[in-house]
Amino acid sequence: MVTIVTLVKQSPDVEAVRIDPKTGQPDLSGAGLKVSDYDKNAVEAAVQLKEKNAGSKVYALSLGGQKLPESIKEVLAMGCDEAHMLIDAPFQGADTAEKARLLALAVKKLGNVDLVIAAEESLDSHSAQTGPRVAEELGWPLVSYVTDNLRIEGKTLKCEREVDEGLEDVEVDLPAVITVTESLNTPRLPALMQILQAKNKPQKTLTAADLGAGEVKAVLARPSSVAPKSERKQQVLAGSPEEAAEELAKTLVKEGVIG
Amino acid sequence: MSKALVWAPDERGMLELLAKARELQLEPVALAIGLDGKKLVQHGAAQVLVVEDAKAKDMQSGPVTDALAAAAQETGAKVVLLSGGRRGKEIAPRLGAKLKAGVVTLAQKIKNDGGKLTFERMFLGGKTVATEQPLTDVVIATIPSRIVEPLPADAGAKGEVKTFAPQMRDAKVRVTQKKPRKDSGVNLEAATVVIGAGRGFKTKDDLKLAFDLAQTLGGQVGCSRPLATDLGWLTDEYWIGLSGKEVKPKLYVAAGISGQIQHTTGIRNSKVIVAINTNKDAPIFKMADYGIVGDLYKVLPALDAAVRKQLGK
Repeated sequence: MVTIVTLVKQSPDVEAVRIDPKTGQPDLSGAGLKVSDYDKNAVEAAVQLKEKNAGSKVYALSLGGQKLPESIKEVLAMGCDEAHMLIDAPFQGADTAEKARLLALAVKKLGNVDLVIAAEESLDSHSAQTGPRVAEELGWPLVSYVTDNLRIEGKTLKCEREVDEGLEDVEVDLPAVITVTESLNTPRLPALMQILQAKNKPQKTLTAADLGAGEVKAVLARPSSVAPKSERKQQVLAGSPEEAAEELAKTLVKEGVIG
Repeated sequence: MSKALVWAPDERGMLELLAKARELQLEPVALAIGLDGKKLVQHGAAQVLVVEDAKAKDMQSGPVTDALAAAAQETGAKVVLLSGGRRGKEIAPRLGAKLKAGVVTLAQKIKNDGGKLTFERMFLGGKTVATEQPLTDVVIATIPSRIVEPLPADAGAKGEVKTFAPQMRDAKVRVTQKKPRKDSGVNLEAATVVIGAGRGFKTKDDLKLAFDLAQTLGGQVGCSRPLATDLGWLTDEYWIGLSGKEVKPKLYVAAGISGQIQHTTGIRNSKVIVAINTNKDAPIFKMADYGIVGDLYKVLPALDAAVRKQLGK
């Protein structure tokens, strides 16, 4: 029996982000908000562990804006038992580091948590910092990049994970924090019944005061985010495949990239 | 000169970080776990702190974080550069939390403006490049592999190599089996020519067309995400893109690849990009220098023949 917290982020649908052709500025107004895709691998891992360890519970923990409950429903439908959402005006000034500190405070407040599961990175910012920072804030061991064979035996977590040199089989006594990769599992698509049932699951909101968060202060400034200019020639070669290929081969030799 | 503390789990990664620190006019101090300190000095390290404690030997994030924090304190380094591989990326945020420092993940570019560092990194699924500035006393960044070449060895280089015995927590993660990656000879990051295969290929056997052209050009084959994940035709080592490898060849040929941002973030630093696709509106053509609108089953053999002719093969 284990209590699992899975970290969930609401992210803009990056594929739908438009770039202003003149300024290169991203326009997020047309991009909907959704659960960061990779977080679904974390949720799936948590729910599978719950199913294999009778009496276990999975809490979805998330920090976001007022629209967060719309996305959170989806992970409740996937099998999380409760949602705990950090929604409060001061949190909007939080950067990755501060969010991790606040999420760690929430894990402590939930109490008796055995395992925190995060995705390796988010869909929109790719900082890959939340899981490891939460581990350090909690003072818990960290197993990053879990790829396969994730299981809990008693109070010990075992799995295969990927590191620079290859793979390693590891084990760690709980409590611990893990981050999971996309190759670990295929997130389930909830059935209609589960989607309907999700509405009745507890959804709680936590404020800065609830957490005793103190001052929320960013440590990283991000003054700009602009599309890189394409400096490609975008020259289409006409003719039959043979003619176009011939033309291309000559051009590539001329450019000095082959030969 | 301000100091930069650098750490990578492997020698090549360490030599790249030393070169990067020198490029930024910083004095590199290397924390060495299982690496030859003298060699690091020959390649640019001003000082090497050698950690011999068995707690660090598996390079688990807990003890290495402690060693780096202690080294930053001992040397007064305000900049910490870590390799952008799995280990560097799990340790950098832990160190950031421990030192209350801002961390920049996979910094593509760094500018040192009179001691103030500004970083550029990919953002929003690769759609934008974000500028980031840590506001803290200590600044930590991970650096992607192969964006800088190691400095040539200088046998006469001077630098101190000393044993460093910091307080470290125990490695609480127990490694029960190490399964090193088999050397398959695939090294996309170092390839000068890469033929990228995408969903335009109908079967796994048809990839031979890409492998044939790669062989003619002395290059390697890579692929987009579906071929490595959903279809499983090629292993992760071949996967180019946001979650895969980043390549920087002189020539990249995208064959049957539509040009989703997930893929193109991994090819954007190629010198010349060629796109082959049946759909003239495929986004890959906007990323390409040269495009051929056509069936890769006809264009790849034609290109192979044309290249052989040009090169007299």
